[in-house]
Amino acid sequence: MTDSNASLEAEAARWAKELGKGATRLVLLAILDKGESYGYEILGRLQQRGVRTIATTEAGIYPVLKDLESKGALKANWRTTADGVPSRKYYRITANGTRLLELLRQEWKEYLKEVKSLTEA
Amino acid sequence: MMDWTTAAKTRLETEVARLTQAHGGLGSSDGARELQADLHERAQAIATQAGAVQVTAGHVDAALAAIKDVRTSYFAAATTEAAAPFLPRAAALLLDTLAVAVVAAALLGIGFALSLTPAPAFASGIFFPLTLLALAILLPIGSGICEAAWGRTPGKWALGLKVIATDGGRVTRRQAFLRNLSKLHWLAVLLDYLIGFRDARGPGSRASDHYLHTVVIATKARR
Repeated sequence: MTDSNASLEAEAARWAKELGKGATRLVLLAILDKGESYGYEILGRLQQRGVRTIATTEAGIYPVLKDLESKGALKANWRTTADGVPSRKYYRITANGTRLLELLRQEWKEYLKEVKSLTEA
Repeated sequence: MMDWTTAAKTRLETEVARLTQAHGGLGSSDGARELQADLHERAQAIATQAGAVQVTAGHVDAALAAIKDVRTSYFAAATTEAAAPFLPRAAALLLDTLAVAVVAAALLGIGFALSLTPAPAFASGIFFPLTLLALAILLPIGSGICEAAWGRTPGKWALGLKVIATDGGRVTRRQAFLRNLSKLHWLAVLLDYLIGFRDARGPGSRASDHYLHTVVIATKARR
C-alpha cells in the first residue's frame, strides 16, 4: 500500500513537472518583464521562493531563454559587473516579448478556467 | 569579490574547457561563457555559505556537482541546428552575385541610355562610377544589411538558408556586416572558405563564421 502511494505520488510529481515545463516560458517572461536579469539570478529567485512545479534547474530554463531570444521575445547582451568576475548574459524583454507575455497570460487564464470547469463537479 | 586560490582558478578553467570539448557544438562559445560565469558565482556562494575566506578547487567541484545536466543547460539548444552544407551556400552566393550583376547592368544601361539623349553629360556620367561602386561594394554591404535585418540575403532566402548566432539567437549588426566583408574580393571569399574547412563545424563553414560565432543553417520554411 505504501509502495503504491509512493508510486502515485511520484506519478503526480512527474505530471506537475510536465505542467511546469509548459508554464516556464510564461514565468520567465513575467520575471523579465519586471527588469533584466541573467539565467543564474533567475534560477536563484525561483529557488528562493521555494518554487516546486516550475523548472528550477539550468537545464529547465537556459534552453527556454535561448529559444525566447531566437524568437525575438528577449534581447541579450553580455555585461561585466565587477573586476575579475566573468561577464553575464543579461536578458531583457522586447516589445514582442511583452506582447507574447500578454497573449500567454490570456491563454493561461483560459486554460485554468477550462480545466477548472472540467474537473470540478 | 572573494579571493580565489590558484588551484580553484585552474580547476574552473580546466573544467569549463573539458565540458566545452565534451559537449560543445555550434553553441560552444556562449555556452562556455555562461557555464564559466555560473560556476564562478555558484562556487563563490558555496564558499560563502561554508564560511570560507577563499574559494578553493573543492568549492568549484561542489558547484559543478550541483549542475544536473550540463549539456542540456549550456550546449543543447544551439547544437540542434546543423550547419548548412557547402553547395546550397555556394549557390546562394552565386544568386546574390547575379542579383548584384543585374543591378550593375541596370545602372550601366541607364547611363548608356542617358548618354544617347540631350541630357547633360554629368547625368549620364554619374551612372558609370555608380556601376563600378555597385560592383565593388553592393555584395558585401547589401548582404550585411539583409542579414542584419532578416538573417538572410535574397540568395539565402531562395535556398532556404538563414544565418544565426551560434547561441541560437539572431545575428547582431556587427556580426552581419563583418561576416560579409570577405565578399569585397573573390580571393578573400575563397580564403574564408579554405580556412573554414579546418573548422570542426563541417564543410561549408567559413572562417569568419567561426570567429564571429555565427552559422548558416538550412531552414524548412523561407520565413
